[in-house]
Amino acid sequence: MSPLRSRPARGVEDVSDELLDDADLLARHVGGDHEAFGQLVARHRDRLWAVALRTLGNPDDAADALQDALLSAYRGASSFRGNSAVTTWLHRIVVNACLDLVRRRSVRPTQPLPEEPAAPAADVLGDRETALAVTAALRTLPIEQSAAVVLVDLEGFSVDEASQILGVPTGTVKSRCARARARLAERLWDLDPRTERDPGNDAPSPRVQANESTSTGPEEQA
Amino acid sequence: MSEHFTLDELAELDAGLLAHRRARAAARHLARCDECQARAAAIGRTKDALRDLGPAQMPADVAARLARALDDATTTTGEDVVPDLGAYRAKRFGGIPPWAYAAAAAVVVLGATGIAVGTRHGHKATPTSAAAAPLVPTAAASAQRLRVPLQESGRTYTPDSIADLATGLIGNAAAADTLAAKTPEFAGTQGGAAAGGGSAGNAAGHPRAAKNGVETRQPDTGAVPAPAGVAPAPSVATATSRIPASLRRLADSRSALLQCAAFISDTPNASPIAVDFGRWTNADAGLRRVPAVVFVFDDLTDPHSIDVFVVGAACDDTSLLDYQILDRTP
Repeated sequence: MSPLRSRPARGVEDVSDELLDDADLLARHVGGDHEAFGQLVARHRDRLWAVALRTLGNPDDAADALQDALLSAYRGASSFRGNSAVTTWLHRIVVNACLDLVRRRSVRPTQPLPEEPAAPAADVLGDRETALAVTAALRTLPIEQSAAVVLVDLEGFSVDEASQILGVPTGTVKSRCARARARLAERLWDLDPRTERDPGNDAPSPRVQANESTSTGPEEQA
Repeated sequence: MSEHFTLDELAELDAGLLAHRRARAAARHLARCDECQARAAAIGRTKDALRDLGPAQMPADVAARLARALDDATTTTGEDVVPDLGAYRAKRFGGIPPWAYAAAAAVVVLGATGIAVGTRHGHKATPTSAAAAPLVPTAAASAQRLRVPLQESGRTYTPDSIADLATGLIGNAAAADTLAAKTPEFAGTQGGAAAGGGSAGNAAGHPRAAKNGVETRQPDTGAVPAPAGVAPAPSVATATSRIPASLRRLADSRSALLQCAAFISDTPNASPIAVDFGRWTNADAGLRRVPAVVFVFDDLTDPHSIDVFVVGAACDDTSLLDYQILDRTP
């Protein structure tokens, strides 16, 4: 019999008049409240599911990764580093579980599959077909890239948040996202990637002077 | 016309990764190259398409499977949660009593006690429900003589701020209510023995505190009188609105509060020198604004030190949120 079991979750009713936030729930879980972790998971499960599903591209793998992740979070809650949001922490565990799963099982290569046929160009498809094409294209990405782009573009995390979740610098997040988008665009819109790059391209052409547009001139550097 | 830009470069441009000169060149190029414009737009459409995938709903069978897995974890590995926390605290605070694990809500108690810190009797706090009940047979007697500066500041304590706030509590008699001024009311004494923490070290001047657990602070040798009996402060209207609801049980009952103080400090006659009702935030532990009582005690082994306990509302064997031995004067 676990001591956690033997002890009633005292205090639950004590604060029923207060809205418990994620940190409260996690604290209650650490304190032995059996219900708290389930509540926390229930609160975020769809979002966590979406991340796992779209990062891995396969519901069975997503369920496996999510189960690993949630058990890990359940047991490791007391070591949660509170310098990030609970959601960030949960996502980090889920994404790591996805990466682990891929690396452990070789669910798919960590490099793109150039031989895989391109998805049909999305601009001739309806919404549903587009969604299928996008998810199919996501599956062709290296897991690190799909994780980054799922977090930022799909789930709407900021680059900073994604950096915390993935445990890599923000520049790496941006770079993975950029590569992922380029690969996805290439597949989705049937574009010529023009991957062959002229080495002389690195210097701006002196002939081009006019029409400086700042709208596309990014200020931040990785 | 300059060279076309690759999709990778256009994506890097979009992500703000291109060096300034290259980015300017790309901007100039895009202004006059329809082909690259279209490809840059495709990057944007790709981001839109990803966003438009929208939310996903976890299938019911997956949800059920996860619920089962978590339920199994509760029954088979739930104990692991406790040693994890204990190990964490042991590292940080030099050990804590075995029953002292984080609880949902917290009370900070500052006071005079010889605490049995560092006596972790193995990993498993195995309190039964009965044993978990605060055990303070002498709390009633303590209450009679206690004059404890009692505050209800509602403020949030953190590991970093607690030293200043706790020492401030001691000196802040003006803003303090006193326990003695509260309506005498006893909830009755409780029998049984506290689990794990035991009472072996309680009676005889807290030998455990001298032996272990307090290495985080170097005891000074100078003698400083312990202000155990703080003068009664002017009574202050109880700022009930600032007290989290879950703390009401402790805030409204002197005996409950003293029982909690005794239980949490593992000292039957615990005489807090200051008590505050507020909240507790510890980023490292993932705790944020948890309702808490802060108890301040004199450290019985070192007159220069005070012992500060942050305790959750339940004040049971899972309620200790933090324990620190602090210099009396910062």
